[in-house]
Amino acid sequence: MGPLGFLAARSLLRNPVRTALVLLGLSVTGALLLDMTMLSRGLEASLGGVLGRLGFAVRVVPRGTLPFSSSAEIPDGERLAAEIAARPEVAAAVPVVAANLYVRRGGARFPSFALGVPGGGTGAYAVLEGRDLPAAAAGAGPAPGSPPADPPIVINRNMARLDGVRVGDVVVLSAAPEPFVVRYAAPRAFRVVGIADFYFDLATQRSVALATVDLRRLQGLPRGAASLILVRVTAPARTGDLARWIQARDPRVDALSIQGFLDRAAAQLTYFRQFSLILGTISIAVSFLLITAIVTLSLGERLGEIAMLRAVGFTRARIASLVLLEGLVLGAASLPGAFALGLLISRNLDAILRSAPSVPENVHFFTLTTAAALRTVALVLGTGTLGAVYPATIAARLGVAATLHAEVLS
Amino acid sequence: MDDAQAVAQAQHAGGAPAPDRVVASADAVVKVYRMPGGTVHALRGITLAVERGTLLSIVGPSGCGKSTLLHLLGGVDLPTAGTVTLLGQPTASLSDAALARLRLRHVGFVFQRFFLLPMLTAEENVALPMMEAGVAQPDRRRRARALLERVGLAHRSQHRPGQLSGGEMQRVAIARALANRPALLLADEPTGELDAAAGWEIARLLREISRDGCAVVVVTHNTELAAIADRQVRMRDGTIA
Amino acid sequence: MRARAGLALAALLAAAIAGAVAAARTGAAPPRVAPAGPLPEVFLSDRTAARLGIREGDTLELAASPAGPWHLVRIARVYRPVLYPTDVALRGLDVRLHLPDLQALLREGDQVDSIVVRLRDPARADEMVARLNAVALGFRAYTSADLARRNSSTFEVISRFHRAISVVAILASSVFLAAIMTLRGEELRRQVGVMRLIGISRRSVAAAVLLIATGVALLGSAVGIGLGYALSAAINVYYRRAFDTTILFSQVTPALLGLVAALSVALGIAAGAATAWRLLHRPPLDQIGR
Repeated sequence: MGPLGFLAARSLLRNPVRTALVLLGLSVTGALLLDMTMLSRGLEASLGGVLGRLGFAVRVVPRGTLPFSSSAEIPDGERLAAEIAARPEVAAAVPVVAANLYVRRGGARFPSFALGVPGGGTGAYAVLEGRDLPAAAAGAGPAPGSPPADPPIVINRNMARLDGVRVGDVVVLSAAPEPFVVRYAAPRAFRVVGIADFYFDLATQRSVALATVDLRRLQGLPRGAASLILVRVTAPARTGDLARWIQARDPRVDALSIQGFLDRAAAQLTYFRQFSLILGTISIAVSFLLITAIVTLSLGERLGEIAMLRAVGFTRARIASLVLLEGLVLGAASLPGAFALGLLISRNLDAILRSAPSVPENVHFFTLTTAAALRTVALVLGTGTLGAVYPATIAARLGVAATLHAEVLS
Repeated sequence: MDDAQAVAQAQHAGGAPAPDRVVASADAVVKVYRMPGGTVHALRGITLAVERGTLLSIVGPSGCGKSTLLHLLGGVDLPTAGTVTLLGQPTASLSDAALARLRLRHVGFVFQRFFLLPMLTAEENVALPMMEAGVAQPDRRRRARALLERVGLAHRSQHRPGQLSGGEMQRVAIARALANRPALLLADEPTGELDAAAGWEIARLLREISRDGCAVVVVTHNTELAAIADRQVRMRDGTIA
Repeated sequence: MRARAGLALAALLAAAIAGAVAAARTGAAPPRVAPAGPLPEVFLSDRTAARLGIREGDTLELAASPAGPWHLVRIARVYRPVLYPTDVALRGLDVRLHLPDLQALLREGDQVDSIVVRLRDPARADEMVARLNAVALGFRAYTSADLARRNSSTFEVISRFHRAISVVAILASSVFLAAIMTLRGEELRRQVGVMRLIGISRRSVAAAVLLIATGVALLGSAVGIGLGYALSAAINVYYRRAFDTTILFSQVTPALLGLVAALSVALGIAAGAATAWRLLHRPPLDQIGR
């Protein structure tokens, strides 16, 4: 360590009580800054993390929408999925249908999110217990002459927990909330074959996955359309080309890469961006003022020492660098506290926001990403350095002889 | 400047020294401060040479320009008129950075208020100029300890200034001033904050340092210190009396 | 649905006619569904009209899905909607249709999302809701108060979030104030030492330090309130322009002013007291550096 770094680091020990107080202040403002940095893109990062885990590089949706964001469907989605699946860079293209169904439990019916998939093994959900839907479930009916078996479904953990349903149980689903609304198809019994994590489930939401053919039958609708096509690729580098090909092939759809999905979702997340921008700016301003105030006042108390250093042979530039470094060191020293406090606060703030209705279980508002951590470190260190610019200017302009003279007189 | 030049009077203290022995010199040096309340003529044409291996004391009443002369000789301030030469180089011709480098390598300062850094140990305070000069850590550590031993404070090397007496602090400051083996040591009222015994210790130390070949200039009110100097310069109203 | 609902909180979405108009297009392409009579008339929000580059009298094609079929409509009016704070950041297209036109476009018969009932005697709302639910076929009735309660949970969460953030901000400000007051106290050290050496009593010195601290805190809170006003005005100007709305984004209320002033004065006095205590427990000679 050079003399400047050594002196700047030791300057923290000059007045321990004051340093502790300033570091506490900087830790709190740094914590707020970290939280705001985590919040500004936290939802996107969290969403991106979940989407990345699913392993689908492209999502094909009705144009201008996000997956499951409206009742719009891709009219011939199953055919389009088959065409996409035939591309060499595609490992799988899964047409998915989303619908609201009702689960009958005792005398009550509970709304449930239903995912219609061609068969098991699609990766649209992760089976935790039991097994997945059979691969050939799509359209597979009972063998001729055999008694009609209950079609299989996979349920989510909420449903298992809230309704006490276990693998092997039978549940009754219908497309209508009341049994005597005749417009919809009649209720139908399904046998639970597995319990799964549906990734975007809400805290108390019931979800089921079943064969598309069974879902359409319940809805009284023909097959062919899809709410969404999930595409798994073999060559991730060609994702952009594939998305462009899909959109050229069918202008009624959008083919979204994970980043494209996040960009489109981000357009609806401006509240958190703006909020974090304002509060982050304020916390930077407070840190800046605190560092400027502490370093300026501290400098005022040791003008004699600075003059001594100049007399001993430190150049103006070195003295300015020393003061800037002191600001930087203050910023750096506050980082552990800022991160510890920031993570603690963010956990509480995240819990508050996640207590709102309609927040998926796997999604977080405050996400500590490498980028957020690095951005916070850079901002804190930058603020520390900039906060010391004013006192550094004073120190560099100090007249050595006049200061030494004044110090003796004082 | 014209005012200053008008009042400049070249005054020589003693006879002409041998040029190869001169470490610092002032030639018809004038220093004028322009203050809001008017102009102050701090030095009115001082001519002086400081030689290797001599202890020169500058005495005189407060405000006569002693410290100003010391600062000019050390290159921490520049003359309004006249020439100050430090190790053969006119200080006015050097940049601020070049002057700083010259001070770092060849000039040691001792101040009345010590100006030790309170968050450093005695050894670290002594090593500081060596750190700035780029001396390797083992060497500077060895030299800092040797210097502390020389000033009789080897046993206090790990103490911070707050744990030392005034005399001890000044001895650490002297050790710091000697860190880079300066040719010129300038001391401004080094005994001003000390009791008589401690002041005498410092005077003795400065005398030893000059005997070792260093040019030592001491601004002082201490008659004992002034008395043991090889040369004494008495100042009055910015001139050498 | 799920993802929509998740993002709804995230963006403070307030979905109006969910999925009713999924797509709109302008241009010369002929409609696939020819109107039987005069073109249906629609209202367009000013932001939608500006985004699509169309105005009153122009025609527009609407469909329930990007796949069509497309229905030609005429823009009867461009209006400026009263936006909820939750809507300002949204960039969706905003179209108002007559109910029969929308139902025709959706091809879902006479289905509606909700029916709003105005009672002659609002006090009997609970009774009416009970009667409606007793005979409900595929729907459920709620009083306005019930609905407000059900729909306000998101806003309650956001309010809790804001309150939690403000606690952190107050904590940061408090530490900042304490640090500054401590520094001020350090600056007063020499002055206090001299005062005590010339015989001024501890009590008078403490009172002087407290007075100075309170004065600084009051001055600071006055400047802070001024800065708060300026920041609030700047936020309003910026976001009103950014979102083209007259909504007030930031508001400095008298209650807030009172809280800020009371907090800063209390913190100032506390910091002053701590400083006075520290100063008075050091010997005067030590304070003046001797």
